[in-house]
Amino acid sequence: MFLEAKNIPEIQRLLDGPPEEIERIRGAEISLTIALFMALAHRSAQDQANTKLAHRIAELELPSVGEAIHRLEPSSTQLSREPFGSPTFDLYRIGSKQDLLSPEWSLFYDRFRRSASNGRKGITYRAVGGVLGEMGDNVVSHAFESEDKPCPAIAGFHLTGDSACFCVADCGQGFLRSLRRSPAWSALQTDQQALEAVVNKHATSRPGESEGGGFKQLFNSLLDFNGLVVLRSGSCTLRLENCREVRHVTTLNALHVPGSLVTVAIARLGKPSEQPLDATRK
Amino acid sequence: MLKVSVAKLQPASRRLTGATIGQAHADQLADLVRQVEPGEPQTVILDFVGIEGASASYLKRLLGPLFVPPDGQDGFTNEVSLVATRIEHADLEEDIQDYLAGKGYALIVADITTGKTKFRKLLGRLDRAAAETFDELRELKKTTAAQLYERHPDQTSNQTAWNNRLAQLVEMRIARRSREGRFWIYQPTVT
Repeated sequence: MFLEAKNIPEIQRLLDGPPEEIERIRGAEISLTIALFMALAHRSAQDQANTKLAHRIAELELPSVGEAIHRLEPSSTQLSREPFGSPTFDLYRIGSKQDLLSPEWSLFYDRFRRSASNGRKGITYRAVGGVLGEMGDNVVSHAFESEDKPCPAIAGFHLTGDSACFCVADCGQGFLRSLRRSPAWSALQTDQQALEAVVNKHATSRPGESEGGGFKQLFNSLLDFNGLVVLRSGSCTLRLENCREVRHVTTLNALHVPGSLVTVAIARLGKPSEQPLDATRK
Repeated sequence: MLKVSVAKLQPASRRLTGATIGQAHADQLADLVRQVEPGEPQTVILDFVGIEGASASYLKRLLGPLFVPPDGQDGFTNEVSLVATRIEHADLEEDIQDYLAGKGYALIVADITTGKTKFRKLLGRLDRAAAETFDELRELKKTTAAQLYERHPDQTSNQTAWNNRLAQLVEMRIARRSREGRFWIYQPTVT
């Protein structure tokens, strides 16, 4: 069983059921997106004093979930052992604006650029690191209701062979509520409309700005390589796949899931897809 | 003249990304600008040495207020002309060029040697009339609308058109003007 972004509504159904339901995914292979999602679900369970569920999630022994749970702890260090290295897996907590103003943040997304490029030069790899930076930046502006009302959020990246993936996930207000703060987008009614506005019209809720730079940069840079973007917010998941200059967009409406996430996978050759995390990482 | 090293603004990074960092840097820059002769026109030289790239959302926050008319919302209260120097990385130059062209802004890039600031090139976009006027201004170093009309009577129907062209360059922060008697004297921010 390999669980990736598209399986999130099913996992949410298990999380919403009796605590033992989540045991169904014990031992599953999971992607980075699922690891971050499970860590945030653990955090939410803890915050809601649902210690039983939090404990079960932590004990599922899913790859990298333990690491992500630990990274979400406000007291855990963000310092990297190899700040200028090029690891295949890394995590960064975005729990406040200060986390983005820390030098560790720019070192983190630059590590992704370095790891993804794997010694190759080119605008593609430069753009990829920049896009991760932009997506993290969006958390403070769009997922947080305000600077003094933050929410747990985490960014991570994962590389295997010729494929690179990053994900930014949060427990925040979601795209719809964020966009509706702006008079220009106050008429949006559904999560799907909100995601489509972001993708097709570069909608933003930033005051005084007519276009969101981050997603524009993301979609523009996707033109350069085989890339997959998954945007999930509320009850909608939008999947945009760019393969050999052909772009496919699909939307799926399912169970409402708190928060939102952005997953980007790129492949130098072949079809871009989320990859299973190393099962030896706990 | 105020010279600010972008690499020294905090948090420091070679690749600058995001509105949050852009705003933090813009706030530090605004503080530095306010400390120098408040209310007086001034030239701010942004030194980009050590910077390899900057995203559009970063540049929007850092540079945007420097192009807003004085006293405009989010702008500086005094007249600030922005000049860039030591844009040494091709990626960064491309990032700045894309940002400026998208906004219709222009930015002078200058070399600074032995304390002297020398025009190197212009980044961004000028329309044909503005580009011609700027070239004239750079050649003459100091001029008035009347002088330009006298030199090129066939290019515009009257002197006011030259006045408007020159005023546009001032608005774009790549030229300055000062009044001498009845006339506005124009000169490029950097010669």
